[in-house]
Amino acid sequence: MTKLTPYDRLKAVLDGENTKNLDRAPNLNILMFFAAYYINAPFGKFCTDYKTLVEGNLRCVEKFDIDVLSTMSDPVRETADFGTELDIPEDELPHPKRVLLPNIEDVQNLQLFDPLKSVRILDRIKAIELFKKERGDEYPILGWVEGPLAEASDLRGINDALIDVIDEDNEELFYELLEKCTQEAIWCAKAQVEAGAHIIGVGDAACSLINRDLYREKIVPYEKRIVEGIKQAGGIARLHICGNINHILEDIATVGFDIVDIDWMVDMKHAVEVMQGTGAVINGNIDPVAVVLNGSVSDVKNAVYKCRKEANGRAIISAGCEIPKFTKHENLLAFAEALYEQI
Amino acid sequence: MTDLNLLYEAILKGKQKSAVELTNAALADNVEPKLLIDEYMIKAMGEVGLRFENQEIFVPELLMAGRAMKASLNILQPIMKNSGQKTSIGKVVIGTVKGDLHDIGKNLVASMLEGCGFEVIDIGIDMDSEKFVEAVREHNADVLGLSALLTTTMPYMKTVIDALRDAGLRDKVKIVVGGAPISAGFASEIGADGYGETANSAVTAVKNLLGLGK
Ligand code: B12
Repeated sequence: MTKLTPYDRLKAVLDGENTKNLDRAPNLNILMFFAAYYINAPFGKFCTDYKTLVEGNLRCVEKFDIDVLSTMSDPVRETADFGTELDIPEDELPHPKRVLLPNIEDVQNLQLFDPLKSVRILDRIKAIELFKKERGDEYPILGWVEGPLAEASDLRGINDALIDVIDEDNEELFYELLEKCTQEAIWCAKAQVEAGAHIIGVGDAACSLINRDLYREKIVPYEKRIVEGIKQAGGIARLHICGNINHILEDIATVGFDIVDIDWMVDMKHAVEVMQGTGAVINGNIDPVAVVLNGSVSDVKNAVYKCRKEANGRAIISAGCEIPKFTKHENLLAFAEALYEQI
Repeated sequence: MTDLNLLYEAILKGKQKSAVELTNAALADNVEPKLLIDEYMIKAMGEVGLRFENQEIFVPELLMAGRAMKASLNILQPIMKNSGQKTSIGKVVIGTVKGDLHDIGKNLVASMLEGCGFEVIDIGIDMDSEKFVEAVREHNADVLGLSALLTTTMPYMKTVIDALRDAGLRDKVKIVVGGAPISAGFASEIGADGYGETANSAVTAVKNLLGLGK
């Protein structure tokens, strides 16, 4: 079968083509720590210097046959631009020194920022521009924003945010926080599409930790607006929630995402069925730690075969979450090979 | 007379205000604080833990229940202290190990332990072995709880255990470990005394270690 470019391969799947009719299913494995380590760059630099991020990704996509140029690094880019002071260790994940909104009332003083005048989102925009210049016609470029509950958690601290989301006493203020996070996400998404991003990923990890009613009533309306914003700008919308989302899949299906990532605890077959007819394509769901990191080459291949069978040509095949830093290269190569092989 | 089952309900449902009101009302009726705690509050937290384990409720509900429980305890404990009663069935120091920022699971364990009558000193996330040693020594802890959510940080639990040994404290404190990637096998491999898969089993493990099991 003719070898497609990563862009055409993904486009075909999003247009509804069964991956059995393509040279292989797309591979959207998430590289962050791994990509930095691959080029011997400290992770702090990968997060703060777009040239390092771009180099790491460009070198990895070629070597490991991955179909996306990603700008993912850490969840606190918007958080920093909103005004949170970060701790950026040399080779670890950046995180807030202290939360910006220790009291929910503080949300009234929270100001939106212009992505083009920001620091960390602007760095991501520069990465997109550089990707576009280097390989933009072959590869889809992935921008990123934090979803409403994820960003609220980063600004408030996750423990307080998980109380805010259920606490009826402060409902109005929490909605104000979600509203501001949503407006900012839309602004940042548009700026990234304008810079050349084809896809905007929405990371809303904390949603795996809340019950279905809360997700549907309090979060879905905001996620919907972000998706509308991405689509209006001409982008493809992708959702990423780490962890177990079996209980909210039906509601996710109503939001309008084009790509829905699922982690390894989610049932692939069921997820594909749930998304049937909604226009959303499932992406997942091999265990990044038990299989990709700790498994052998044949474990990886078998997991990919199994996933392909369950998806029956209706999904993008990737690990359920980030490829761990110390994954053996042979495992990631085996991952790519197993996508081409006849099963 | 206050209907004490309402206190059980208030904690189960995470209603902090009603929990406080009902606690005060019960005290006005001269109900023994210890009875409130043992027969209603701890039982409510036990049910909360069970429902969480069965995925009937999620993290927010558990956090709310923990908060309601704490608010009631804050009223009852000073009264018990003043009358010379024991307010804690044991002292637990807990924290997430170095390099690891995940703290939701650890917090839930801490709040379940508190809810079940332990005094808990939560020293936070990303803690190095010296901090654990210091805290165990300073608080004279009966149990040390270590949490790790990353495969890359779980080996650090052993570093902490070794540091306690070097500090001559290993025999004075029981160690329980937990977090998504941790297994009972790993726990015994690194020389921990116990392991808990969930917040509920964390409580059981700690009780067993202190000979407080049912
Ligand atoms: C929320 C989350 C985050 C948040 C953490 C926020 C916070 N303040 O805690 C943020 C965004 C910061 C984060 C960051 C990262 N994360 Co994270 N994260 C999660 C997520 C979605 C949920 C974890 C959670 O809170 N679960 C809910 C609680 C209740 O469960 P729990 O922690 O397991 O705790 C229970 C038991 O384990 C036990 N327990 C816990 N502690 C203890 C202690 C004792 C003593 C006992 C007895 C019992 C016990 O009782 C608890 C209650 O039942 C998981 C995926 C998932 N759903 O599991 C990934 C996950 C844990 N993260 C992962 C990764 C890889 C990362 C990052 C490296 C990714 C990145 N590049 O951003 C960073 C690492 C940062 C760091 N240095 O720590 C991986 C870990 C893989 C692995 N095994 O190594 C997971 C599994 C996602 C995945 N599928 O890959 N993450």
